[in-house]
Amino acid sequence: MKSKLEGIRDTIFDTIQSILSSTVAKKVGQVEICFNHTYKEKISLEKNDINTSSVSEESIFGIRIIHNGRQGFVMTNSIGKVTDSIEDALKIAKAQTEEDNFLELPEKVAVEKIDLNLYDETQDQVSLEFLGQAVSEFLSIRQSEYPKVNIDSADFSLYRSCYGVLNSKGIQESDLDAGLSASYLGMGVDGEKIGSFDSSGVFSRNPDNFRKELKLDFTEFLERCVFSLRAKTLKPFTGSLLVPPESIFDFLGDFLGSLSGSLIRRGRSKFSEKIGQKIASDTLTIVDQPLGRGLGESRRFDREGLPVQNKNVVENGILKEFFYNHYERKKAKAQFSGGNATGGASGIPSCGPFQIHVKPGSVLLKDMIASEKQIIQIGRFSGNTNTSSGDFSGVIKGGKLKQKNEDYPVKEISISGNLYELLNQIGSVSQETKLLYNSYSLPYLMFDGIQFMGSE
Amino acid sequence: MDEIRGLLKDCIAECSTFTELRYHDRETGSVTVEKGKLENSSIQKRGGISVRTLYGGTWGFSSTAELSKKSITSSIYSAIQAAKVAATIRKVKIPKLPPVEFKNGLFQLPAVSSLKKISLEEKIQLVMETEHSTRKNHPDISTVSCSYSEIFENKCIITTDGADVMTSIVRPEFRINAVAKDHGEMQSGSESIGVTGDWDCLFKSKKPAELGDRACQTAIDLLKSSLPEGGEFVVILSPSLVGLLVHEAIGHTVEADFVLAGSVAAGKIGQRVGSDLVTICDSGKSEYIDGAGGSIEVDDEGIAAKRTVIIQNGILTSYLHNRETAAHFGVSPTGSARAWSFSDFPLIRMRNTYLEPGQNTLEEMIQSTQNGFFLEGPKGGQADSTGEFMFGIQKAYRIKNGKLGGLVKGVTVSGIAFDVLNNVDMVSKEFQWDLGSGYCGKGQPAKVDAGGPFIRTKIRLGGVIN
Repeated sequence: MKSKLEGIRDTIFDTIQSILSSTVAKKVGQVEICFNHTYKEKISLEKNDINTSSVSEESIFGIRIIHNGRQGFVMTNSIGKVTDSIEDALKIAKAQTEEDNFLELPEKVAVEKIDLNLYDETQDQVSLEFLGQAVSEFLSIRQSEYPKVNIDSADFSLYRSCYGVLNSKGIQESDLDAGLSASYLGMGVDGEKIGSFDSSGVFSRNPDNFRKELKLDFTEFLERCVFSLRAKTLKPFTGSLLVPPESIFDFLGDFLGSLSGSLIRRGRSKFSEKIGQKIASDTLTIVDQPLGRGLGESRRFDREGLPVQNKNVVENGILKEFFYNHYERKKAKAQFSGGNATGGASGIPSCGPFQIHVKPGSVLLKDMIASEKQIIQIGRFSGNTNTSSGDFSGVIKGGKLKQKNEDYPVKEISISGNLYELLNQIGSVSQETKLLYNSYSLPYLMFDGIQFMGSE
Repeated sequence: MDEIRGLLKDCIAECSTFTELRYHDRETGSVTVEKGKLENSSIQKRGGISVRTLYGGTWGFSSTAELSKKSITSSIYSAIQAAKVAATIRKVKIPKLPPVEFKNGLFQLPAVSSLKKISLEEKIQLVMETEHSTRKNHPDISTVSCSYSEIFENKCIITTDGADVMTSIVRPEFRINAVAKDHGEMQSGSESIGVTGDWDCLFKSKKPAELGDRACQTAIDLLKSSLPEGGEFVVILSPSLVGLLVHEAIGHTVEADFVLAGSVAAGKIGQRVGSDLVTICDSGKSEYIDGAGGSIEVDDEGIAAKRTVIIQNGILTSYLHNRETAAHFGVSPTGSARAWSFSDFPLIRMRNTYLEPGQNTLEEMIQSTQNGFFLEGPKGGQADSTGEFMFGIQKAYRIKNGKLGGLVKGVTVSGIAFDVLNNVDMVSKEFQWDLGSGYCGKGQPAKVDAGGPFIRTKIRLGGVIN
């Protein structure tokens, strides 16, 4: 017997198939309809207490048409308006004067029917009451053991969704997905003393694992909030920056963004023509792993319905791949190595990775910090980066001065430099890794030669 | 919209507990051109009804995209059931909301109909021609990207205690970004404008070609520049950076939900937090100059979006409130409750935040500065619970002995909000709204604007050790 979610998916799927076979769609030319239907229950907290409890359900449809080398896109949240949206997208396409002969929808490529364990019917039994129990435990830990931490805001949610892509060239893919997540933002408060914001969160597809991971992660978060209450300022100095798994994307995120096929084509990436070249320390290996079973960002097909593949992006410091959707791959005359069209039903496909893992290194964390170097471990980076140039500047939040006997919290320290040059300043990569949000497997990275602008 | 209003009134008539129904639709159109190619032309249409109920001392919320009595009634039921679950856990119950004065009626911006008359072809032409002419006038620039977008938004808010409001607005934005390259180095420059209004308003102070020229010049100049030394300096902030300062450093700390969670502004009403020269306000109106990008007549609770004086001559005077926090503090709501879409719960958000102009001129400020920087060109910013803020800047010009000198790369500036305000010693007469293309993030986006005069103060510059 079908679950409710399967029933919804099948109804949407059948409706879209029917629309694609209709005369409206046939006169347009190439039509792609991407859909996402999500049911969500959420409990939101503010000021250490519940604020709102909510239930929502919505379907989104992204209609892309390509007509005589011109593209138009319309998004609607009403299935009854999808046919009208095809006409509107056609008008958008016809409003353009220039043709682009590279514009086309992809042909069908077989997507393996593997079970990534993204959804099973037991997840249908999880309810708002379950979230309520998790929230109660959460608040109780804070109140009884960490009363000096204020939860500014937190969200606990469960979702059940179906998503898919169908196009007039035979692509018809869909999947179901469900999970539980929690995110929280707070700070230590002790009289007039207020610590820096800290944030964290968890994701799981299994309710029991969700509760276990939540308790562990939340306790670590509370510890950090209390710890940062004693933060002190420092004088400026040059030393090493230890980046924990939680902050790695503050330093690698823009680099990964600059590997988008779209940015490469438009001349906005420093890494065009660098495939096969050494662009980082040989301790760095980055992999995109969309096919991890049960992981948070796993999927079988990309935004355009093409099969995804696990792939090495950077291998021992050598750049191996860019991220392409169908158009960018065609423009670049690149071979197909798995689809990397990203985004959802709200917009046209962009390019990027799905689920990044950074390979562990050979050095134990305790040995990384045992040296005589002055080391600051960052909590999170609050600043700006220019993706084109790689220049960055910002403030270290939740920082710790690593000392032999005891770590000490620090504040008001800023750092500046160039992210892409930093890739070659990776001193070491830890053996230990952490799986964040049940998706991203990341180690600790040590960057040497960093100027810390303290405020003393 | 009248039909929708009738439907909402029909549904709410059967509600026995406080219920707020909000019809909310948004249509966003965008066009992007780069290197002569139309990269994107799209429209996003999303609308529905949100239901917010106060039941058992807590909020329940639900939403539906289906505009039928059956679906809305079902959502009301879901919202109440959700509230029932939360009510068993919530410690501090919300008492019944006190009566308030609503700003009922229909508020339609004339710009809505004038912007709808401009065809898609004209919008594409604007973007294509600007991109083309910018590239042609600056052959040393490698890439130019130009985009135009517009947000049409309609709302109808009905509550069981008397709110009855319909609003219709439009917010166009225009952006241009240029990349310069030299021997493997790349730098970019950006300019953008955003208003609540039509094209006359959008391009009143800066024409598209001028924005293109400025973006290109920034990219070229930054290629030749280096990082400044870091440290605390006397700085003159341009109006856009003043806007970013008052938004990030002050505005967030006085949102009453954050005050109650323990922001640095908690318990400081009536205390000095800035110099005498500092008066900071947040308003739903476009004060001084038309078209501020965060303008609203009425908030999403049906309350007039008043001008709220947050700091008066250096003294903290008010927080920003929704109905719930206003009741807690025993004051009137300030019309600050805003939701991004129909499926979002309204939160306390800023609208147009600014520092009042003063008496000085920019020339006087530069001439009287011995050693410092003139900063302009905002990038993103963030505020921390500690009162520490940071925001990025595109350009920094050295000031030595009262003269403007060379350009250095923009970095991040940071500081403790109230320290920076206490160090304000000059405020210019000029005033600009300059962040209208910006979006504030707080779990959901919000269109805001910010601005002010030029000001002189002390701030910490991230940079290199000298």
